Amino acid sequence: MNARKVSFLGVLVALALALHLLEAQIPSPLPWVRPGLANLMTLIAVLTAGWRAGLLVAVTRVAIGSLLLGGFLGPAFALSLAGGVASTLVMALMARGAWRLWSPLAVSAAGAVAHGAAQLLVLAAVLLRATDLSWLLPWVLVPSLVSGIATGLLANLVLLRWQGYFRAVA
Amino acid sequence: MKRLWGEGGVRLLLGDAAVLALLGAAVAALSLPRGPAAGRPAAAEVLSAGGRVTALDLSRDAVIEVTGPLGDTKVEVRGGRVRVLFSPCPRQDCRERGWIGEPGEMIVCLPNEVVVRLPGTRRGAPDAIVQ
Amino acid sequence: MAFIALKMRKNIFVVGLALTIFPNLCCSSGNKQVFSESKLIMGTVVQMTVATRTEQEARSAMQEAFAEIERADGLLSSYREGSLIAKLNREGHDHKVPFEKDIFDLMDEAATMSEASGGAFDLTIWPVASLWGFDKGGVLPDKGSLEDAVAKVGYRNLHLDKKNRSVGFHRRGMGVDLGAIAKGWAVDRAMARLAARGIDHAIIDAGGDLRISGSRPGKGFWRIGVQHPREPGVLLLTFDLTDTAIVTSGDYERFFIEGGVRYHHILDPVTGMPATGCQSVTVLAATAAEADAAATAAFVLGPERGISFLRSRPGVRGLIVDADGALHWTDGDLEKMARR
Repeated sequence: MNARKVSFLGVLVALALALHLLEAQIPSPLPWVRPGLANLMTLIAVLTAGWRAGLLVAVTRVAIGSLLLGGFLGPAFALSLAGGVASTLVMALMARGAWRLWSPLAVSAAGAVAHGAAQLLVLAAVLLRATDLSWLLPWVLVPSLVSGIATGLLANLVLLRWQGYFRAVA
Repeated sequence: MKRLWGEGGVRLLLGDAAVLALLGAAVAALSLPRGPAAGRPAAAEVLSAGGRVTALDLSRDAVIEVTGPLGDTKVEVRGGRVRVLFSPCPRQDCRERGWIGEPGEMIVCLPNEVVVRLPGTRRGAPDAIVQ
Repeated sequence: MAFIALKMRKNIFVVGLALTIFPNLCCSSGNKQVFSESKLIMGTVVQMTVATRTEQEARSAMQEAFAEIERADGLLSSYREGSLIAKLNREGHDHKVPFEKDIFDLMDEAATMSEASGGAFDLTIWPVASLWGFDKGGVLPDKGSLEDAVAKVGYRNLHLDKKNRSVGFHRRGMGVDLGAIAKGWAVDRAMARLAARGIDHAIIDAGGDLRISGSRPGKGFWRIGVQHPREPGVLLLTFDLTDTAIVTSGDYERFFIEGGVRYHHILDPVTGMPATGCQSVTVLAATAAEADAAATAAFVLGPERGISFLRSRPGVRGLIVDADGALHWTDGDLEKMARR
């Protein structure tokens, strides 16, 4: 990994973190439902620098974000980590078909749904084992899908407009 | 590379439509309520004198007895809902309350010091009620 | 080409850095969850709702807060033989009974409220209250006994020695009943205990005496409903509140029906009979103790004098549902805040 790539990923992490922290300030009845703009950074990392880079960005963002917001190694951290890792891996798989079969929009949407599903799974299987959470499915999956589509459209825009820059870095 | 729609920076492919349709179908399928018990609380709380709290499993139909200063109050569970079947109290408000099944609802019998309560809050319902 | 890429990278870096620093200056909403617990204490359902990071924090803090309420009931209930007030009622005629600061201050507040309300709230109503016996369901006293009891009521006969923090009786047969303020006081104490444990977002609901701090995580308020006085299970209206106490006194809480007439537990110290002007009174104040006592006083005073009384107290607001079901408000702003 050359210096250019490292600094590029560093910038992605910083931006992801900033967006993550900003979104955390928005009051919401469903606190885990966020616009998910920070995931845009993970998506860009996966598409330009590979799945390992994507995982690095995702995990670093979750870790530092949780250190800053509080709850490091706590339940919220576990949820974010599970969601982040799951969505990155799904996006990595989908990335194989990117630009040929589908655009980053599909990659982002699939990653977002994986993110939400993984969080619910961790919640149900590990954190709140006794409770039946199936009623939460629509409340988590639908906002996830919507946010994944929004982020994906933004990704299409960004990646195509600045493709020269991204090619130079990756 | 089948170009579906695009202008400026947003270029979509046929594959996008396919993937989105698939995801949408999966989300919809998982979101449908499963039977009449969807969203109902799994257990009720029975509060009795002396700060005692007992959990009442709402998935199994049963009649349980709760002992209080005036005698035994009989509480019935049926179809995920609960009611006071019999109470030794003078006014019988608790029996008149009927069945409860939504989170946040409760039946109170102060004379015999028995409360049956469904934990949680209904969406949109207040966090507490002054009465 | 490389130069342009470099400049872009620098810009992105600066923007990213700025965005990273900025959010840290704001307050963090944290990752708080809401936990609830209920217990039967003081013959009432006491419900607590707290917002904390972990369930452990919530459960142990609520345990302490419940214990605080039980302690208060044990100390203040006139119906419990071992309580400090029962002791006062036994010994107050013979000598002045000393009290620790907190309890003395409560009695002082009750005495001041008695005077401010012109006796509508009277902490010496014990002779009348014990006749009705609402702690055991309630019985209709006979006229003669009631008249005798009413004669023994009068806050002016209570002597509070501020220097020695002791209390004495100046009239035979009189007694103290703090029922109309004790619940609120207990709630205030429990809330202080939660705050001491670092919990700033909570609701303590002791059967209609509510104190709230902070708000529901993710929202700027707690949504509090006011019970409809005549239709059980139906809400009259709701308020979105934060950091306040709200208490409702109603004629539907404790009552019995005899000979087709409803007798409820909010007694008029002058007549000895249940007050008839209102169905329910809801008061907002800084402390639950004040709200509790003010609500009782306003209920006895009736809709017009009750509203005037509430208006006369700084920081106190409320509404009265009169005997016909009409609503009276202390101020228009409060009315606008209410949602139906």
